[in-house]
Amino acid sequence: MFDFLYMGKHTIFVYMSYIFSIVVLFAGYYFPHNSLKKEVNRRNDKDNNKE
Amino acid sequence: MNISKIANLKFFYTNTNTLTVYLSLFTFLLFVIGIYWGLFIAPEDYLQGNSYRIIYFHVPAAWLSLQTYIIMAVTGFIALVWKIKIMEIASIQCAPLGALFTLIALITGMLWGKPTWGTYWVWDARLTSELILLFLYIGVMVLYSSISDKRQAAKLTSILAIIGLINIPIIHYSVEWWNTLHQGPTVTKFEKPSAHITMLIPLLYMFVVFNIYFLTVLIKRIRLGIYIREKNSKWMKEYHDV
Repeated sequence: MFDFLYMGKHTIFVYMSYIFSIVVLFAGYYFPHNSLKKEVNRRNDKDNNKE
Repeated sequence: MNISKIANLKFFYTNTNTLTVYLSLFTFLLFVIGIYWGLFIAPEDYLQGNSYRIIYFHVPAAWLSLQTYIIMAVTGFIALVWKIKIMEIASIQCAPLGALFTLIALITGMLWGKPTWGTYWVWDARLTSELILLFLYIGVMVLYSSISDKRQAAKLTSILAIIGLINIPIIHYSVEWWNTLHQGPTVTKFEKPSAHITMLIPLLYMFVVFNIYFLTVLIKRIRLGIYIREKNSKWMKEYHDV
């Protein structure tokens, strides 16, 4: 069924490379995205508490 | 558009939010196409079999690791000479991105090296100079975070980035200057690239995709850097209150 995914004897190396790269690239994208969101929310909460 | 307008922190921050959303979706779509192309459409190599498919991440990541360093040094130089705040931010925000590309290049290179050379790592000129590049990126980040005065920190990291530029031609020409296990240039021999066109096109496509990813994340990182610096300013409070 999943024969098309088979890459011969090097399957593990190919998929490990792809998965590692995708995870690192996603982390590189997500970190600044999430940090900015957190920073803005933190400041808004601070302002609300002051009021 | 006036370049000085883009360099304005307020203008940049308030006008790039929607852009990053579109760029993110676009990058995601391009990556999905590139991964499918690299894994299933590009033909198998007669010598290396399927393990060569790792190049679709390894090579663009390695190119971007060098390109990002050059951008970091150039923006650092501009910030140092003309004291443009956004260039200071851009320069320092390039460091984590460059480290990320270098890490991908090193790890995927190791995973390609094992089936191809029979070893994950050798201390040859190309691999060692790429590892030094990773240490340079880490050095820039550590130096910046260890100094509390961020304008002073940006100055020092810019100087470090400029000095570290010496490593870039060493990485690029290492396979020609020294006898290395790493293969020589394949794509940059423009008169006659060693790779077949059906393998070369998806590689160049992935290089473009990596560049778009770089642009997307750099804009996001610059926005974060601007927010951290300007969060107490009036315009920032007004922008987020709307």
